[in-house]
Amino acid sequence: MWACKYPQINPLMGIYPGWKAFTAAVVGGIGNITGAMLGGLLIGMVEIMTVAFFPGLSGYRDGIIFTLLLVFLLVKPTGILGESLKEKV
Amino acid sequence: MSNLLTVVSVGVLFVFLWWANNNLDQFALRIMRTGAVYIVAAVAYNLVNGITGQFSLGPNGFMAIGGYAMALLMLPLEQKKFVWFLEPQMWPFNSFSLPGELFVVALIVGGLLGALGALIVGIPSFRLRGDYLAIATFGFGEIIFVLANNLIPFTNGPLGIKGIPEYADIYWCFGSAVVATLFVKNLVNSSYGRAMKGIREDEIAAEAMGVSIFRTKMQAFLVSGFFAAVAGGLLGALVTTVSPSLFTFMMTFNLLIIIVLGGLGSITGSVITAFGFAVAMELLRVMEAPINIGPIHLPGIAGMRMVIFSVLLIALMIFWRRGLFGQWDFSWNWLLSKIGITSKAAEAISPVEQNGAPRPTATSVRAEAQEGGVLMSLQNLTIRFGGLVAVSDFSLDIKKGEIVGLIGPNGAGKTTIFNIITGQYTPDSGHVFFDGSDITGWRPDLIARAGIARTFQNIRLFGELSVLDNVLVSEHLGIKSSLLTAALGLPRYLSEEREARSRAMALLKLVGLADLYDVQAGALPYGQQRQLEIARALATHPKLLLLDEPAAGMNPEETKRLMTFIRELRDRFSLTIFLIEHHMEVVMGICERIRVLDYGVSIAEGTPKEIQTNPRVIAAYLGEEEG
Repeated sequence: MWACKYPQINPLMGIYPGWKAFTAAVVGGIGNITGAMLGGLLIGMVEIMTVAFFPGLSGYRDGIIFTLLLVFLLVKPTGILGESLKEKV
Repeated sequence: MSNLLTVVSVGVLFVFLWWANNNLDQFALRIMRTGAVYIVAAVAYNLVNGITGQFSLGPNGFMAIGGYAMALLMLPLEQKKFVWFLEPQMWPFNSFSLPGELFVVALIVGGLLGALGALIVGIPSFRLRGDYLAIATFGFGEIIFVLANNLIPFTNGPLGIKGIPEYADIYWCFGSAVVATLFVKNLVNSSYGRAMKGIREDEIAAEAMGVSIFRTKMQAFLVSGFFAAVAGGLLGALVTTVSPSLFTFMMTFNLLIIIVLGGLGSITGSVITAFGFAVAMELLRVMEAPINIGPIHLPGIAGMRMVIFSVLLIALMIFWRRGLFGQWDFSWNWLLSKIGITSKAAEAISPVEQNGAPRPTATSVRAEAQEGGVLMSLQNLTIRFGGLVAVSDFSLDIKKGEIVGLIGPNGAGKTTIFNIITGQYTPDSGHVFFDGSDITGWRPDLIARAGIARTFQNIRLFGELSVLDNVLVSEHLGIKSSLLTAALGLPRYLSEEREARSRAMALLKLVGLADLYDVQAGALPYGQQRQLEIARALATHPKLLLLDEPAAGMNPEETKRLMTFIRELRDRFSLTIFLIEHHMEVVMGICERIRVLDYGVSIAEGTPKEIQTNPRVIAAYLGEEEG
């Protein structure tokens, strides 16, 4: 799918979508399918809307995604729908 | 002795460099300088990934910070006008430039900015356990990359900053490599380094021994960020250009190869492989040029070097999992004992003789004075896991100097109560009062500092560390010198370290492990591991000692010795002891008071005699288990 949208194939093309998928999972809440869906939607929208509304910032799109990740880890590490986990000792 | 040897060998190194600088050609010197820069970066990286056991993917970001800081400070004004021809450079960097003598200032400023970057990434990542650091640091590297590409007035975008004077000569490069290596090595061998290794081995145990997880990880990460940025600055002044493409993820990947090849956790390994990597990268250029073997002509393939390194790495992962050096590190004592000048035991053992038993601390004296008062009071503790009520409405007062036993069938919630007391779990309701303060919900390391130490039912030693180091991790609590004092090896820290060592050796003597002090803890037999856990717990200078099944797996004779040992401990350190045990002999033999728990509910309390005859206890527990 990614290869169709991005008309070029190269050996490193999987890295970015992979990391962004992880980001989406963290934002949505690790271990929560609905959360991952929401997170993916949110990440994708943020990325595209940044470019759409602030063309001047288009160069920063990847940076914005990862900043979002850091902010989420800081403010709500369990993500939008994640639950806090009790650790076994 | 070892300090003298270090100074001498650094002197020899610099004499050699002086010779090399005058006699070798530019190409060879350049390889050596690159190698030295890799040493700085790899040693810094290994501190986080190898020593502290946290998976960071961020050194390229920190190196970029250092590289750009150096370039912005050092680039001559003339050159600055020339570089920023599309857009003017940002104020204030367009108005000044540091002279070459202040290169060190630029490196240090870069380093501090790198440490600041590490702080920003570290705060969100280290609050969580698990692999968040990897993604956060990777993201950080990407953010830096994106900024470098786009903030043209600041970084000149993808074109980069060219024409930096070649300040990073052989002395600067190797000087930095020596400083970074010695600093990190001192740090790793200090109390702070042992706390980091403790986290790598077992985070929960380290925290229970009073190591602040967040702060310790952060310390490692800040030092690492600092030196990574210094390496970035050096690299910029070596290749005379700073551009985003210099600090891509490829850089992190190279460093990762270096530290894994050299052995995660081995500074020696990082130094040697970093240098070897730089040399090999050049030598293997042959592989990328067209090759003629007799009649066969192979065209050159760009990138072949990386293929070779990757194959090497995979081969290593399969055949030699721990890298070339594992966690082994070079030390002068090791060398001297190899060639037979001193015995390696000498240094560690000698101070003990002056100081046979640990002196009673101020706190234990106070405890003695107030004997009879309540030390810990558990009030209405309840905790649920999902629907299961593991402990229900549990209350208990423990007086100073008592030995109290907690018994009950498997799964009754005994260990859960210990976990609540030491902060691993927070109760859903109820309170834990200890020595006058409400410690409910405190972090485990703070509770350990307050004076509660524990052992674990399923032994949680720092398996890869030596027996002595296991105890010394707990002694970290008593170290007052700062990280910088320790890493610089100042006398104030060294005397503290000596005292900690002699206290630790005295404790090992007490549990009968003094002769095995340099054995890997994981290699000890089961019974001795339990003994070591007790010594490790005692090293936190507790007022209350929680023993979770101390006699498990011991034979009858060992059990008997354990019983006298526990009584002795109580008298010697004025301890209060709370223990969980299945061996009825132990419980009945040493406990003054016994509480029986079944399905999370207290069903009886009393002296051993009363418990033995209590019909409810017999029904719930003794009757079934002991038959």
